[in-house]
Formats: sequence, C-alpha cells, structure tokens
Amino acid sequence: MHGIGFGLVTASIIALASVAFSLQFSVTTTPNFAHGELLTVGAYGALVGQLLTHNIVVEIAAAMLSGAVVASLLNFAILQPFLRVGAKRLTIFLVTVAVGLIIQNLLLIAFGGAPSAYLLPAFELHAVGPFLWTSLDEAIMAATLLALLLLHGMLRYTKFGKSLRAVSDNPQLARVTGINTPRVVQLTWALDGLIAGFAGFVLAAYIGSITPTVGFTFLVVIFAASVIGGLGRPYGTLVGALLIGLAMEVSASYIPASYKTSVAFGLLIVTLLFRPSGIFATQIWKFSE
Amino acid sequence: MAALLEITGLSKNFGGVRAISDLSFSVDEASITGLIGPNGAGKSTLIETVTGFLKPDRGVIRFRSREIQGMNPHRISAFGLMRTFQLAHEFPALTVMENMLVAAITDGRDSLWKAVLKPGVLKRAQDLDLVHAREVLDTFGLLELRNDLARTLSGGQKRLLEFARLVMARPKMVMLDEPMAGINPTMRARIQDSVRSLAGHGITVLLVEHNLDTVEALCSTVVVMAAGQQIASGTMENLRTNRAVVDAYLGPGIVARAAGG
Amino acid sequence: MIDYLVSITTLAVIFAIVALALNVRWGWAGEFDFFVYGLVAVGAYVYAVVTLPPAPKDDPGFIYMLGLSQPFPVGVLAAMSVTGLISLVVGAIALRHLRQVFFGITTFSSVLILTAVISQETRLFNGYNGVFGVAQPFNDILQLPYHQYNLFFLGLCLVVLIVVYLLLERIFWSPFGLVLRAIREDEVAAAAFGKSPYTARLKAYVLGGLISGLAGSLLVSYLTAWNTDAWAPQETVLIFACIIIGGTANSRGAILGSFVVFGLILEGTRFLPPIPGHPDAPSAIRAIAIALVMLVFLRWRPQGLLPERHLIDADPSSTSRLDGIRNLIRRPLRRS
Repeated sequence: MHGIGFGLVTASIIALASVAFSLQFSVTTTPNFAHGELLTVGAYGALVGQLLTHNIVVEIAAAMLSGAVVASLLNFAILQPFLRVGAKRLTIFLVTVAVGLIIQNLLLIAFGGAPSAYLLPAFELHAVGPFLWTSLDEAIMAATLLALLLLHGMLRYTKFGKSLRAVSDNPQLARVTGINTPRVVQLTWALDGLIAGFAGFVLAAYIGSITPTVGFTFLVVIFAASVIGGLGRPYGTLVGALLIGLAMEVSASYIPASYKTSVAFGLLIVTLLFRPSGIFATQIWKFSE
Repeated sequence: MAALLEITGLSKNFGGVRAISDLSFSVDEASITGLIGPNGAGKSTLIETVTGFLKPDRGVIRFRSREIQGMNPHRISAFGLMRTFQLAHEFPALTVMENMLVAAITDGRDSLWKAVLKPGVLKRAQDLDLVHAREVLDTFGLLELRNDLARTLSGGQKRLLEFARLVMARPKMVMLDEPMAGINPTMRARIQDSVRSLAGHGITVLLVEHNLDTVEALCSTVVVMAAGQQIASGTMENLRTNRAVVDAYLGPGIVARAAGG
Repeated sequence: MIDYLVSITTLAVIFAIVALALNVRWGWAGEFDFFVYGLVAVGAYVYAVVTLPPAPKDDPGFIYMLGLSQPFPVGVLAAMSVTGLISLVVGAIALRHLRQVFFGITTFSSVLILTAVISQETRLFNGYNGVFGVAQPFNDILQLPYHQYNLFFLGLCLVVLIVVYLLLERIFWSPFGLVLRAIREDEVAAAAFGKSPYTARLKAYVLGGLISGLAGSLLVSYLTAWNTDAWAPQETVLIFACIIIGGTANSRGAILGSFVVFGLILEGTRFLPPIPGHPDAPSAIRAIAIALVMLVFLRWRPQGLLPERHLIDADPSSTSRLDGIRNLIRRPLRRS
C-alpha cells in the first residue's frame, strides 16, 4: 500500500516532465534527448534562487524561467538552423544528444559534480487514508494537479492553445489557415522549458539535492511514460506517467530498489516492441522511417 | 497458354473498407496484361497484396503453381514475382551502377560467409554482372549516369532505372504500378519501349495503368477492376463497348468514338 | 614522453576497433545502436572473469563469477562468444520492428538495464567496484619490463586493428556489404528485390557484437580493471563522435575519427590549465569540445571527413561527376 502512495508522488513528477515532453513532440515530432537537461537546469535555477533569496516563490520562478530560456535557445539557436537545411530526424536527434552533453557539462563546470543540497523546510509524515505522505509530497501532488489543470485550460481555451493543437494535428493545414507555425513552435518549446523547469524544481525538492545528471537519469523514464501513453498525446502521457510511477514504486516492494528504473525501461521496451503507438492508439503505426 | 499467376477469391479489408472483394483473375505467361479501373478500384492494394507487402484476408494466390499468399515480400520477389512502385524507390545514396548490381544478386551470393571466405568467386560474378549491367543501362540510355548517385536522377530517369533494375533481376513476372504517372509526354514513348523490352526479355508483365493509350498500345489482354472486384476482361476493343466497363469508368467520349467507328 | 604517446595511441587504436564495430551497425546497416558500448563492457567483464584466477574466498569486497585463469586467446574467444550471443538475442528482438530513433532509445534503455543488473548482482562482476588485477596478455611468457611491454601491447592492438579492418573491407565490397547498404537506403525496395532486411541487419548486428567483444577484451587488458564508471552512456557518445567526425560507412573514416577524437581533442584539451575550485572542469571542457565538434560536423559536413566509398565503373570516356564531390573513386570495377 505504501508503494502506491509513493507511486503517486513519483508519478506526479514524471507526469510534469513527460507532459512537457509530449507537448513539444506533438508539435515538432522531434524526440529531445536533452529534455532531462531542462529539468536539471530548472533544478539549478531554483538552487540559485535559493542562494540569492530564501523565497520559495522566487525559486520556483527561477526554475521555470531558466528552463524556458534554455529550451527557447535550444530551438532558436540550434535546432532551427539545422531544420532550415533540411536535416533528417535522426540528425536532429543526434544534435539533441550533443546539446544535452554540453548543457550537462556546463552545469558540471559551474556547480561541480558533487551533489548540491536543496532543502526546503522540514515536514512531517501523516496518514491520508491508507497512504503515508509528508506535506511536501502533498504539495507536490497539488502543484502538479494545478499545473496540469492550468495547462488543460490553456490548451482548450486560449488562442495559443488552439494554435498549438492545430499545428500538432496537421502542420500544413495550420499554416494554410494563417497560423504562424514557427512562432507556435518557438512558444511550445518555451512552454516545454517552463514546465520542465518546474518539474526540475519539484524533483530537487523531493530528492533534497541536485547533481548535473539528475535530469538525465530521468530521461528514459520520461520516454517510457510518453511512449506508453502515446507519443505526442499529452493526455495519454498523463496516464502513462501514472502507470510508470505506480509500477516503479510498487515493484520496489518485491524486487531490489535499484531495479526500479529498470522496471520503467523494461516497460518502455515492451511497449515499443508490441504496441509502439501507445495504449490509446486508434491505429497502429510502425516506427519505420 | 499456362496461367503464370492465378488469383482466386482474394479479399482485403482496411478498417471497414473492402478494398478488394472476392477478386479472381489470372495472367498468362509471356503476356503483357493490363489492369485498369477507376480510382479506388483497389488496383494498388492488389499489387501490395499479391507481392506480399500486405497480407490478404482471404483467397488464394498461385504463382508458378505455388501458393504465395501470406508470404513475406522478399521471399515472393526472390521466387520471381517483382513489382515497381508509384513513388521512386531507388537506392538514393548508391550509384546507378550499384543499384543495378544489387538487383543482379539473386543467387544467395550475399551471404556473409561467402563474403569472408570466397572473395575471388564473388568478384568474378560481379564482373559478369558489370558487363551485363552496362549493356542494359545502355539500352535504357542511362550508361553515362552509371557512376552518379541515384538520388541525383530526374523522375523520368529514376523510372527508367527501375526498369533497368528489373531486367538485371531476371524475374519471371513483374507488376508495374502506374509507370506512366508523372511522366511528361516526351518520356512516354521511352517508358512504353521499356515495358516492351521487359517482355522481350521473357518477363511476363501485369501493367496497372490509368493512361489508356498506353494500355491499348501495349496490352493484349486487359482486366478491369472497380470497387474491389473484377468487372470485365478482354481486349481494349471489346471493353470499350462493354456496358459495365463504360458505366464504371470509361466515360462518354470513348463510347462516342466506338460508335463513330 | 614516449610512454605517454604509446599510451594514448593504444587507447586510440582500441577505440578505433570499437568505432569499426559501430560503423558496421550504423554506417553500413543504418541501425542507430546505443548498445555497442554495453557490449564492449560485457566483453571486458567476460574476458576478465575468464582470465582472472578464482575470486579470493575471504574477501567480501571482491567477488566475481568464474575465475578460470585462462590465457589471452581463450579470454578473447569467450568474450566474443558471449557478446556475439547477446547481440543475436537483442538484435533478433529489437530489429523486428524498430528503426532509427526508437531503436536507439530501446538500445539505450537496454544499456541502462544492463548497468543496473551488473551493479546490483555483485556476485557476477563485483557490482559497482568492478574487477581489477587483470593480467597483461602474454607477459607471463614474455616477461617484458614496463616500457617494452607497453610497446608490445600497442603492437598487438595494431595487429588486431589491421586484421579487423581488412576483414571489414572485404565484407564491405562484397555482395553482402552492397545489399546491406541497399537495405539501409530503402528497405522496401530491397525487399522488392528479394533481399530480407531483417536477416541482413541481424547479421550486421552480430558482426558488430563480435568486434565489440574483441575490443572489450583489449580495453580491459590495457586498463587492467573495469567497473561501471568506465562505461557510462556518455562514453557511447564518444564513439558516435568518432564516426560522425571521421566518416559514416567508411572504415578508414572510423579509424581516423577515433584518432581525431582521442588524439586531438581529448589529449589536446589535456593541456588546459586546471581551474582552481573547479576540479571537474578539464574533463567537462573536453566533453563540451567533442560535442561542439560533433555539432559542427553534423551541420556542415554530415558525411564526415572521409565520405562513403562506392564501386566506380571507371571509364576514361565517362564524363559523370559524383554529386559535386570530387575524387570519390576508390576502387574501379574495371578499366576499359
């Protein structure tokens, strides 16, 4: 039972990061291997915010802002020049691999490889029904819920949200109906970075410390959630994140804890092999280029 | 004349749409048979299904007296039934000559063991292929381009390369998927000659085509498909006055011509 | 100074062999494979536990399986057999349906699972701490002093590199090699001409796996120790950089790329002054340098320094040019 409780908290973090990834993928169809780095950047952003002020609001804002800036730069300064010369998807993927490496090592130079502590005020455990949570856990889940609700509202009711959905559905049609696709792409990346930065803050708060690879180690778990839920389907990804989070934490009750992430990877591989379009797919498509 | 390809009761559904519905016909050896029909008749689906790129739902496909339905495409093509594609499928980053040499490898020469242990034998076979390939490329007018990467060829040249590759591969039969599509009028005669040249090499041809002049010029027998079924077959002459065909497809202009003699 | 040169040259040679293995899978067959370094690691581990003496019974900090005290050739054979077998299994499953990016993600996840298993199951290879004390190949017979042995070992690695290179060249120019590249280019067309994409790719995958096992044996013999740190995912990016920079689908390019990455970039940045207060800076700068060079090549010279070679029908009267790239002619089929 505890497993499920932990699972929901883990799922919240995964959900945030994966939904951001899925949103970006739905618009650009580019799997971003540097996505984990957006989380790491957010985490360190929060750390810097904490060092300068001790205001949690500032820390959160710093996390989100740094994520958004890095993501926007990634698209504007690096990906767009490649796309303009017609680079293939595999090349773009390699570009994101290289950029991820650069970001990781820049952070390594700036902050050192040793874990940097990121501590928020202490909190007690208390029982909520069958689950055992701290106030931080509850804050994480509440924040995630809020963020997702805001996101949903934005996607449904704002002009930008509708443009985003149009571009992800059918880019040619969107362009023809007057939607400024490049701008939507750029803003989607910024949004991706915003949410990922926030996820980075949450991750740092949950673990209590930050290293330059903290986001990278999450990357495959994020892939897993996104693929299971259906690549490019943010709502499906939510369910995927929930499944992954629960699977990871529940499995820890039965097999050694260091295999937790392997469970996620295993699920990813199985999904890619047997149902690559995700569990919500209405049509099966093969990942052949 | 023996039927090289026999299709009996073939059916293929796509998520509720019956692309092919209880289709039966056959193709005689050493013939150029045409397959025509309006858009959506199922002609492309037929090619995909017969050559193994799609699996049929029901039906029997007999080629060279063996049942091939459900087999993988590479096994069917290795068995002697090949096809072309509507969109160019050349090997882009290989040269024209390399494209030809790949097509010529039909006898298990591409095994890894042989590559390691018998390089001399392989080289001699490749030299023979080279001589043959030069002749074939020359007949298609592509000899000068033989060292160019295939992706630099024009659309018409890629189409000709498709034919040249088929000659190298020596299949028993080939299904041509709308070879005239997107070809400008000046190239048409060359493509038509290419089809005849295939037949001249002893290859049975099933020509799927929209361009009726081409079908008339090349084909002895024509099969007509509409809505996934065969609705008629015969010579173009007969078909022009066949009511069902006219209704489904040919249109008033042809009827007027036939009436006027 | 000589020792230093011998040392980095040896490393560059060994990684050139790894690059050749990746080239078979990626350059020839088009499989974007992240698992290659995992196989090198497995090869290293297997070689170690086959050549090491049995684990000391009273040391709980150093446990591993087997311990057969076998000499170099047996260790290499064992390593290659295991990596070949694993490649067969992984390839048979993954190559059925997955391509490109998603094949890369799957193989990447597989490496991470492998890391977790090896770290957790300490009775296999001593977990995180790994194995050490691997004997130097042939030195029980030769009994060479330090400097001479290093030269001998470099020579050994060079011989292996040359043998592997010649073998791969023979395969590249064979019908198998040509068909494999055709499948990479357009597997639908290849299937339409009687070639089975799955079978050819699987063969390439196993071939790459065998070479990876060989490289792993050499690497652990050189380092005399091996643990999970030595094969972090970032190392795989290094090998990819070798190919991107040196040339995809070109064996000489893979070797050249390895020397450029390990010789020029890694060693070139070794001369950077250490920055006080930032002990990780030099290795980080090295990694950034490689990533930047990768990006530059991906953007402006995606075919690498030495582009892919083709069978050219050389005829003096021919006036064709190859895509604006001069001098692609490597091996004339025939002179008229």
